Amino acid sequence: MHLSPDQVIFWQWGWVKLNLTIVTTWVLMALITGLSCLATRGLGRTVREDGAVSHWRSAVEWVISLVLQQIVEVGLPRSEKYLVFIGTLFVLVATASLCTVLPGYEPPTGSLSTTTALALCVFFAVPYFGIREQGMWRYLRNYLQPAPIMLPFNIVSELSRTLALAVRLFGNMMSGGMILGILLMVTPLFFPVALKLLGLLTGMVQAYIFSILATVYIAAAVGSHETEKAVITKG
Amino acid sequence: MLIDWFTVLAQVINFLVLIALLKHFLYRPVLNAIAAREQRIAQELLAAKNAVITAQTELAQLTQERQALQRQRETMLSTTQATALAEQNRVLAQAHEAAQRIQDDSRLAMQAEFQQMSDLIVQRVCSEVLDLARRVVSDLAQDDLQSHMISVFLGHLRQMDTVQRVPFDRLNASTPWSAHSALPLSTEQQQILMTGVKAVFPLVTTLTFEVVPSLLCGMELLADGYKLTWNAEDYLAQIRQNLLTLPPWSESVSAPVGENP
Repeated sequence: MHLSPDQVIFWQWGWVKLNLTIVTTWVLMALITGLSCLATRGLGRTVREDGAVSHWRSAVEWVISLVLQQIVEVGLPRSEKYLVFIGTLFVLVATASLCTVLPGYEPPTGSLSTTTALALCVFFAVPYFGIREQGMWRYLRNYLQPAPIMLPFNIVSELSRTLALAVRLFGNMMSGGMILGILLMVTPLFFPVALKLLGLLTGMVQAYIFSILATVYIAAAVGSHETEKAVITKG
Repeated sequence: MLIDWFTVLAQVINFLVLIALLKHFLYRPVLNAIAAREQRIAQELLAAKNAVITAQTELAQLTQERQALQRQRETMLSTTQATALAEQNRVLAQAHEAAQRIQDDSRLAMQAEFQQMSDLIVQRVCSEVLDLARRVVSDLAQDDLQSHMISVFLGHLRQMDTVQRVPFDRLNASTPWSAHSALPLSTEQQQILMTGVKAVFPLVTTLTFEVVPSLLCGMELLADGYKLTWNAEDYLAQIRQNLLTLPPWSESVSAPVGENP
């Protein structure tokens, strides 16, 4: 039994290696891309002659609209600009969690490398969007708020929340897999199924939390620290 | 070590690739579709709003037209009522005039008819009275009556005024005189009459006697177209004249008819 799918290595050449995490991620990418193609294929034809919209198109638009609405509610009014990043985060983590129902599947989010990669993406996306919206100096000036003495604390906060993002997701996904493996050895039938369902719920919640936290960080960088505080207090 | 930095780098790249793929295959088509649908909905809402504005404008215009039509209707109605009232008055006036004319014509016709009837009645009465008198006189005709008539006639001659005498006084002796009577006179009666006439008109030399039945009861003395007469028919003519000149005949009958409502 291994803690991380990184330990399952299919091919290695020097420090370059092809492990289960990468392969599973590729498979998930292919799956998500394929489903996206299916979802948007013939999107123009899904409008009937009477002007009504088909159910499939309505479902796709409903999911996208839901993500957009969540982004807006967090504090990013122009949600289309952040949909690609935040939506992809949510779709990847959610798909990785949903696929845990497949036997023998190990989610790539159960790898600290993957969650670290995603957290790093968020870490770099926050200043990217912040600088794009506010400009370099105005964004950097936020680190001196409310007083210049707060600069090291703000930097530590940025690093710690990135670390928290990575460890939180990794911990939840890895623990779910570990507990499931242990229970399969102890009680092979009922509890693993119940825990599988619970794992699905936990996975979806983690996907939502990861995405919403990323949104909050971006909103805080784009807007003001007040938005971040308000959302965190509310959460 | 739980973190493999090559895997971290690979996952970052994978994530960025996935972002590019989803942006191309999922978000852009869906967002475009949503935008197109929202644009279509916005256009339909705008069209509906314009339709509502158009409908409201047309409604206001129709309301104004209806009000104008209502006013026009009221104007036409009042005009028509005034025209009808005037026409009614005119027709009533014409009817009253025609009725009055017919009434007058009827009254005149009735008066003429009554006049004709009265004339006819008078004529009939006179004729009947005359026939009756004639029959009575014929039945009672005797020598005494003839003598009495001669006596009465001679009495009238003697009492004749000067004006009546003037035409006869201018006649000469050769003028033939004739005496008419209803019944034949006896010789004695002729002699008496001749004597009486010569007493009044001394120039009378010849006097012929003729019987004229239409005289009824009386006598005539004629000379050169002039005539002196006493006849019961003169009395009847006087009666007739009096009857014909009676005003109450026509007025008493026509008065009730002439009452107007």
